[in-house]
Amino acid sequence: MGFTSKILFPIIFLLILFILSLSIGSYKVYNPVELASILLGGDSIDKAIIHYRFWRTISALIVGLGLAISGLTIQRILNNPLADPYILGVSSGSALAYLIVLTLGYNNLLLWHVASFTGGLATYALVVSIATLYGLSSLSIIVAGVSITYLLTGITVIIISTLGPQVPFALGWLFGSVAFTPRDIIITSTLIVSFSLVIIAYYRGYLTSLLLGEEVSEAHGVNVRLLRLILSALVALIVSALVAVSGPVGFIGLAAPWLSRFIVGADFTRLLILSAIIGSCIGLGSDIVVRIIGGGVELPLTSITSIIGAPLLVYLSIKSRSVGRL
Amino acid sequence: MKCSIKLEGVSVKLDGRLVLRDINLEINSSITAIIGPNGAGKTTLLRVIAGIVKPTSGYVNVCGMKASRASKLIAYVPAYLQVDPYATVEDVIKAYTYDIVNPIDPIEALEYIGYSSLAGRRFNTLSGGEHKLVLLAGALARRPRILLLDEPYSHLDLANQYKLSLILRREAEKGTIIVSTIHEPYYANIANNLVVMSSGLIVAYGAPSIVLSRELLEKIYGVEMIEVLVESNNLILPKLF
Repeated sequence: MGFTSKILFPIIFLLILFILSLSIGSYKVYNPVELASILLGGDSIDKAIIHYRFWRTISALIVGLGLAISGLTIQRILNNPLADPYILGVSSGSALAYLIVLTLGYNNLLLWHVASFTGGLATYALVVSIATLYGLSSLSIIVAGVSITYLLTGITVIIISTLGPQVPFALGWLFGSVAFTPRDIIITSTLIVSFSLVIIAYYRGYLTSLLLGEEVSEAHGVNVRLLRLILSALVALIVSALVAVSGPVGFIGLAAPWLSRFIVGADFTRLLILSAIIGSCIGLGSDIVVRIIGGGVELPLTSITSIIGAPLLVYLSIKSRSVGRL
Repeated sequence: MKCSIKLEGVSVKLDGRLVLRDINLEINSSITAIIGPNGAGKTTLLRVIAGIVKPTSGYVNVCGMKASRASKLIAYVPAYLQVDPYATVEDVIKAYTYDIVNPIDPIEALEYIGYSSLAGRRFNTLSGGEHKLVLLAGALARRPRILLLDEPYSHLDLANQYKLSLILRREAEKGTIIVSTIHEPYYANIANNLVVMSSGLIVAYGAPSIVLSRELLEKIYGVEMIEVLVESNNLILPKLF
């Protein structure tokens, strides 16, 4: 089966999810005919609902896409199939920095992004440094990442507990939600993720070569250290943009590239395209599920993505050990 | 343009240890084998030529340019490689040719080394010997002017060792400069030139028939050797019993 046929089903599935996302919600469910008539000029309440759901759909889609491509990139530059921005603490670092700036009362979108980016990048550097202390293996980086994630989440929860009436909302954000994201944040973050996707696509040749590891890639002209530096910063940029949209969302960065590998192997260009589509599907699908099973209560996205991702992490750890990668 | 590899006064210090000491070497010939005991600096010498390791002092010139600028002319095959568990054989070969304008197609590259049966297999499910052959196919798919091989004979069974020797000869006849570390002195005979290393130094250099001697190998490996004459080839082997 060719690559085009392999991505056809995920694309169709994404389109169906997109339509479902516009149709389904706790307030009202539209059938496709109703949806079409509203889009062609329905009444103002229905239009407002679809309008809200459209921006929510874009948020979920961009969160899924962004996390998938950052997970794939971080896995390739670290040569570690278990790496994921959430497990490595990048999301928690971004979230903590974002929350601190927000709590201090700075109401500036640029400042939020800069703080979130710095927090994510600093955490990533800390995790890699700690993992390097006891040999930069697949397992050591996961252990360091999970430990730092717990530490930062603990601090984040303490800060959230001081927020008074905003505590329930902030706790929901801490586990990922796209229910109430302001439109300016969605637009800015979409632009950042799109820009990052172009940059990653630009480096696809080097990332293809990195399949063969650092040594062979360097012999064939890749400046591996510089590439790692640039792409680590880019991953932190994507994650910080997404934290502003949804808060930290777990495991999409692990699950989407893994499912893509299962379908198309390890060619980076193919993985990038398919991970972006599958990541969007997981983001969108998870957001639809939280709307349905919450029964009027908005469940966090990570509650769904964890159910998919945590068993996958265990499975991948066992599988990786069996081929001697840990 | 005729290619050559020149090293002038190259020394390399890794973790405070001098791994290569004042290496002066010019390689013009088709197959050059590097032998020596473990830790002699063979792989480091190969990595210096490949531009992976920068010399602490000295100068490396590959086909008239700095090693790091000659990457499109070079193909490097490491002694061992671990890749993504889901990588197919074709993915590995394609990764070898990411920067090459007109590379050999992965399937053709496998046919070229006589292993088209490996197409479609996951790389990590192959044997150690098959890994070597796939990496060689990837390296050849780059159409390299310089082929650098680190211990290519390890993990290969006798039939594949023979096959590899034929492939290397064929590439050399096409004008490719091949530099290879080897552990088996009897395969030094496929080379036109032999570099013998010990403790980071080149202790002998020249045609294998001239350079290889029982005394030299006993000295650098520190084990007793025997000479065996097989069909006009003088083989030097460790005396086991």
